[in-house]
Amino acid sequence: MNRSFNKSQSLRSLNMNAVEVKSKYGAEFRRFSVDRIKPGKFEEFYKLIMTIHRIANMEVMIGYADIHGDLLPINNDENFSKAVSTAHPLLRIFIQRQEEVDYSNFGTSTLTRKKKAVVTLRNDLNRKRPHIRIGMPQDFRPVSSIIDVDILPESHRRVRLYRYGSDKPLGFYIRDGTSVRVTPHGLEKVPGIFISRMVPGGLAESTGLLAVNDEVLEVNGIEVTGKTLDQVTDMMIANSHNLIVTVKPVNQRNNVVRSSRISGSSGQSSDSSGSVGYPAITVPTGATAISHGYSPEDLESDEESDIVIESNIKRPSRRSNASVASNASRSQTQTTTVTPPSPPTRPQTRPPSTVSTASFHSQPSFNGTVHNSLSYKLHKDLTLQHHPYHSSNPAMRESNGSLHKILSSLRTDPRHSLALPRGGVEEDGTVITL
Amino acid sequence: MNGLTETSVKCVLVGDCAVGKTALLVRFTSETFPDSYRPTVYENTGVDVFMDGIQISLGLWDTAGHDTFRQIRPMSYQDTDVVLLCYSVANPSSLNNLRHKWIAEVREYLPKVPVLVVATQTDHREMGPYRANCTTSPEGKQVAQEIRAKGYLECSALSNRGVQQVFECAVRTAVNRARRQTRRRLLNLNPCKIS
Repeated sequence: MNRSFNKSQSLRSLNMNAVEVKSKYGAEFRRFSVDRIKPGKFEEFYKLIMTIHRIANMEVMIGYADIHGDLLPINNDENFSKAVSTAHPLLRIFIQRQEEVDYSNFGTSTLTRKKKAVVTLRNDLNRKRPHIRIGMPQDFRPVSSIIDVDILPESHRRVRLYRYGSDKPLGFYIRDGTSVRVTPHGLEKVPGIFISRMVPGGLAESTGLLAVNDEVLEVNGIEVTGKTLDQVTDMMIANSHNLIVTVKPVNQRNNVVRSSRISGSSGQSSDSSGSVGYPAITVPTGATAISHGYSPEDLESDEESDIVIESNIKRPSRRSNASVASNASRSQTQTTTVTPPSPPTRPQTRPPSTVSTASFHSQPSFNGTVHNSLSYKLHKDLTLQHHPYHSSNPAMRESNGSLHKILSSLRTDPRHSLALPRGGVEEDGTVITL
Repeated sequence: MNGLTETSVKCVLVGDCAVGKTALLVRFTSETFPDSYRPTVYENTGVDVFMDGIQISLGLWDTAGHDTFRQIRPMSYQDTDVVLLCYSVANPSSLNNLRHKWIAEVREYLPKVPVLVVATQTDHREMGPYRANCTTSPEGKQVAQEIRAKGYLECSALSNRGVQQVFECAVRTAVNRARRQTRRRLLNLNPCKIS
């Protein structure tokens, strides 16, 4: 004891920069010194330890007691340098075989006293406790991360995938598809690339950052717009060991939430796009309404001047108005349009009798009525002939067609046809003369 | 968790921002300390450890403590085996938030997964401007009990103390739970053994 103490003093007096090292391996102790300022590399220190303790062909773990009494590992240049620089008054080293290392000894309050440490280490060597121990971490590898959240829109996500080893794939498939984009001209459909399938247990699925139907926007900084599926596939394969893919997730719930709530604004923008689309749909309806407005007036003006025939023409014209007002795209309404021709047949049976009564009471009145009827009929035919040429609206065309049908059905009626020819008129005149 | 043939453990670190979650992971995986502070959004790393001769693939999920990324965080929780609730001894509010905020979020997504409370930055107790305001071990253990954590650990990534212990405890907790579940499953499959 005294001798070792004297040795220590003599060493200190010789070189103030030297750090005394006391090394323990099992029951074996060794003393030596290292330069505090330039201790060298961990690798050299490791070899020195192996030489001093005559350890060969065996991996060991070197631990040291820091100034707080904690057992810390020495396994790289950084912590080796720190151990030497902070040693006071000397550096106490504890060496264990790698397979026998009990890492529970490392950490806070594990070396309250030197004796306790020695006892603990001895116990560990003598009997292997059933304590579960893990070794030092090996094969560290980054797997995935989200990057560039500060420069991307909140609806986009930039994902970095690191493929570890050449045998494992990235773990997802892509497909062609169509996405909708908002442009100055409105909503447009454009081709897009989408994730179509995830490999169960693969890299992409395990990371949780990509999902089926997410749209791929960029691959390692290059946009996929205008590129074929094969080209995008090649881009991904070329960058597979460090893939940076920017996607627009189909599930927009796991996004960055910014205080300005831009996502809310983008929602409103989407709504405004919808509202822009709606008026566009309404405009044709408005045009149709305008056309509809003119046509009934024209018909009504014809009807007003002919009191006697008004009841006949009025009903068919109303039905034709209905067909004009109806939506041309609806097949049910088209079916309804076919129905109107049959009802007008019944009302026509009454007006002729009225005409007969008039002829008996007053001859001039009857003649005037007949003339008015003929002249307005002709005008109506001319008007109808012009309509198809002026209007390109399908609904309007259909209404003209229905009007023609109604008029055809009227003409086929024998009594109505009798009223039109002049021969009929003369015949009635002959009867009155007698 | 997979079978014993290929064992994997998924460990997620959550807690307030800047308590030292990333530094803890970096110290464990690469024996270094980050140069500067950069808020984490989502980081997933892998590492192999050996326990009783069995190789375990340990997946480590680093999450964002900041509220800006609170909707990204749930993506980290699927299939988790163990959660480390981290707080800094130099920041008393980060300890309070474990019981008021973080345990509720974790239990919403992972009702039955074991949780460990990890006190970080213990080097501040010895030196630095936060020394007087640091929380003590009994205070941390009290919170760990309140939230029914499986364990309480202390570490300092800066001075490299207790870091190995944290992840050893995490792996042990996950593996023990898996073994217990396997045993329970076997018992359910063979009800005759009970009688």
